[in-house]
Amino acid sequence: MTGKIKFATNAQILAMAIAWLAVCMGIDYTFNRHLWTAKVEAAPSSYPLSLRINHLCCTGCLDDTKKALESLPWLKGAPMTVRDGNLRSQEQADVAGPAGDYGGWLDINVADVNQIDFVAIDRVLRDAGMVASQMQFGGVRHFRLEAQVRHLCCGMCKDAAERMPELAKTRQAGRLKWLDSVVAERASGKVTIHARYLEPEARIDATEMLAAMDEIGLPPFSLKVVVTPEKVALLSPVR
Amino acid sequence: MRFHALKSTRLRKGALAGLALLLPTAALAHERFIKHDMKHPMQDWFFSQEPGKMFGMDANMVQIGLLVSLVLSAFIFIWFLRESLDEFIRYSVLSRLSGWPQRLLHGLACFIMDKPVRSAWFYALGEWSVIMFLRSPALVLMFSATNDSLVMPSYPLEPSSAVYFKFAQVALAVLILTQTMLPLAGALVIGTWFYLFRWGPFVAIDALPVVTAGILYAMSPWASHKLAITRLNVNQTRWIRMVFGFGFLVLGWSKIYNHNLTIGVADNYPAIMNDPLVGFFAMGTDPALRREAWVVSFALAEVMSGFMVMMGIFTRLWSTIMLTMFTKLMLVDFGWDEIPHIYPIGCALAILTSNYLRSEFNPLERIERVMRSGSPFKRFALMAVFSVGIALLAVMPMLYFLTFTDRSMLK
Repeated sequence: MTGKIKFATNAQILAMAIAWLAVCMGIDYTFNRHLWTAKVEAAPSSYPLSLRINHLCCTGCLDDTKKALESLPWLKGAPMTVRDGNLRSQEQADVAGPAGDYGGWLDINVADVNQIDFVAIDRVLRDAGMVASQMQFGGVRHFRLEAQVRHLCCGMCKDAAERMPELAKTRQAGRLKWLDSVVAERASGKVTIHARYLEPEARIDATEMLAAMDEIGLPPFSLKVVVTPEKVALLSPVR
Repeated sequence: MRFHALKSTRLRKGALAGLALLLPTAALAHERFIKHDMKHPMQDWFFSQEPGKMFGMDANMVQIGLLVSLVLSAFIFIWFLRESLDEFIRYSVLSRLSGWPQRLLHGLACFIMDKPVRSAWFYALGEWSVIMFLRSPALVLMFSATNDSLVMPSYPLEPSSAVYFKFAQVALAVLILTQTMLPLAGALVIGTWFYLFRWGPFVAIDALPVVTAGILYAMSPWASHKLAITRLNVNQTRWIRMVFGFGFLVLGWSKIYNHNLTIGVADNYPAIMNDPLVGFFAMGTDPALRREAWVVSFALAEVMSGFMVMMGIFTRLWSTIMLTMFTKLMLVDFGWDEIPHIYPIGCALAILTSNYLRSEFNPLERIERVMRSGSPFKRFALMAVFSVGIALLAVMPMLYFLTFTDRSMLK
């Protein structure tokens, strides 16, 4: 038995729709306050870059790491601090017993965000016999990464590059959650990786992207941060 | 966005302020699934006022506009005279046939002329289509929720508020799937669509097909969970058809306004540039302006089909064309990325299988009926004048108006 069939009036529908609109706007206003502020955020004076070095047990390791990093012009003189306080000296480490964790975080403040190249960091560290298992970057809300690859010979290569977000979905460990979309340009060998909006305290891990690019077989020779507004990609002036 | 045609300063300032508030966030959003990066520059002047030209419009644009108007007027003319055509089919063709060929041809004629199709399989298809249209939005809502998106996978949610909208979408999908309190579900869909304006008018325009499902829910009974909803009534059919058609009409115009985005998609999926109807509209235009002409032809083809569905002219025919086009886009051209097209596919199916189709030109059809007893030449001439006038009004003024708009805010 359905009884008398009752329908909603237009006024009821409109009232409910407006109420729901108010709820949506309320959620938006409460949790996305940053989108409602009209003022233009001033560019920060430096950008946080943190490297997780799995072998950073003493000052000798730290010296080698710093020396390697300072070989990059844009990191020369940049403030670098070990997050967990003072490291042991080499002498202290010689006599110390086994430790639970030999690694540590190195926090760096980078003055020019557009100079950051994660491939260059990885390369100089490896040349010095060190390696960063994570390269965390943040402090900027809207940015993209631009990777240069040597091999992007055909449409299938391009398609493979642009399917990187699918890797994030197939891996359940929360990897590449910050990734929004990828656009590859065959002619220039440029792969543009758009990050989703980042909360001020949130960080992305660039090693996830380097691993993903290795996974699809397109290792980049540079992976730079770009914060300048995007321009329309023009491959050729002729139609 | 600045509309030069808005003469009132206060109105213009209000519109500017409102749009300025809406556009920046939209401009920063990425279309995550359908690639749209433009490969070659467009000749922007083609879409704007050009001094020294008739009405300030590019001759190629005028030519496309007039050709589309001509085709549209031909359809409207045939529509007005469809009863005479039906008479001819019945008495000159069907009377000579018998059995299944007669039934088939009669059914086909009824289908094309938006008359009730009395056939068990068509009725069954109609019932299934309504169920599909009623439920499929829930699947897309669930899909969007799992992709951190709102309503459509191409509208990413802000991470800070994503969880609330995702749960809301799942709750709405559960209401739809269980057919519970559908008027509330309809209001939630319509309210969410209002909210999309916060992300820019183009986002809301893009999501207009969603509103058709919202209308169906809103016009359903409160005790919907106790009923088997398998048919659209006259009112539901009319509103869904009008909103569906209006959505395409506006989408067509927005394709000309946002021409870089339109051609950007074509640059990435060049196969879509080979559409025969669009090629026909662009026929004879300057080959040096091939891409610009394609954008206008493509957009006006959408305007034309949207207008006809909105006004109820050959609704079934155009809904079938739209259904075919969306299915092709989803299965052939774009693939999985266009899975949200399940919305308009369900809507087109529900409309074309409805036996309650009417046109919005009833007063003119009445005039045509009255004139049937008089001279056929007079009747044909008057209907031709009406058809040409309606078609020109539907296409040319808006095309002209768009040449005054400033696209600098889109860049």
